[in-house]
Amino acid sequence: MKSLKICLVASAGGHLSQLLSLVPVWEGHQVVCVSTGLMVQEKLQAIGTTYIVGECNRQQPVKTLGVMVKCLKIVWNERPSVVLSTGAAAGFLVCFWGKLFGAKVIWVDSIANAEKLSMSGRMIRPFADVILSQWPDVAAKYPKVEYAGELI
Amino acid sequence: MIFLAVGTQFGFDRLVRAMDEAIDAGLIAEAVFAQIGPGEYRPQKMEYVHSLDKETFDKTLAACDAVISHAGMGNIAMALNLNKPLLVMPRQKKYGEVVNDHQVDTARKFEELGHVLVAYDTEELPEKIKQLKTFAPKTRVPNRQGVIDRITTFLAQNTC
Repeated sequence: MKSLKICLVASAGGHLSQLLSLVPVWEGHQVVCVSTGLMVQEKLQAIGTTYIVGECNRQQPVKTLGVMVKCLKIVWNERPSVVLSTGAAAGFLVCFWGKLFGAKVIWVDSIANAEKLSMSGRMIRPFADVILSQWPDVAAKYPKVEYAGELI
Repeated sequence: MIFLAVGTQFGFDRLVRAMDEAIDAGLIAEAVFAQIGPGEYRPQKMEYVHSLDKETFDKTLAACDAVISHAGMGNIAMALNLNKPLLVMPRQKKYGEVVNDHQVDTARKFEELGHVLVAYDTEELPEKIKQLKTFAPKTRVPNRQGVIDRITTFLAQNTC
């Protein structure tokens, strides 16, 4: 299997700690990391080139626009073959741009979404190549969404 | 010592104030140490900080007898990992505490599975704090390998 450039993207905090439990997935591949807070920069730089885009959520349209532009620049420069994310909004944005630039998108919805898929998850679902929920009864609610296990 | 932790993104004045009032009413005998995030309410009856560096947070968590927290996955995961009895109060969108009600879903799910106690509102808090004393959380055994395998299979299928 040839080495891929994989972009890992997750909001700092629970989303990121879930993503980082998937280490064996990117062993042997080239990794680029994107997250939202400076407090995780050092940790991620040990894994690969790291970009910090700042926080944003659905209630902050201007901030989100700014983060969206940063994510576009990152995807434009890095051209990952795969984008792997556990959310949240920034995760969606990198997955979205990644798909537009030809990347495969793998979405693992955060374990916190125990009754229904997150909003970002629902928005990326049409574009995702693999989309997982960590709860079997949530996966059962949506076509295409699979359950393969859980990270916490 | 009870460790009250509300996460780092938003304050959680509703829970912090309710804890303060519970201590004042003599409902909590133990010392409470609170991490209140960017909250505005200042506790009168408990020692508190706004934030903790990771090392201090981990030490406090390891040393405490029980945890009271918002229903954030980070705190839930860490408490479960150390087998600490945990009582959560989910943040709710209608109080402006969080962007949506996923914490209510998380709380309900983990309560069903026997991993946490839940106080859905401040009225339930005193009773649940009492139950926390004898609560023995069920251990959780996640199937992480399943997720790793699914993704690794996909990557192998898409690289030639």
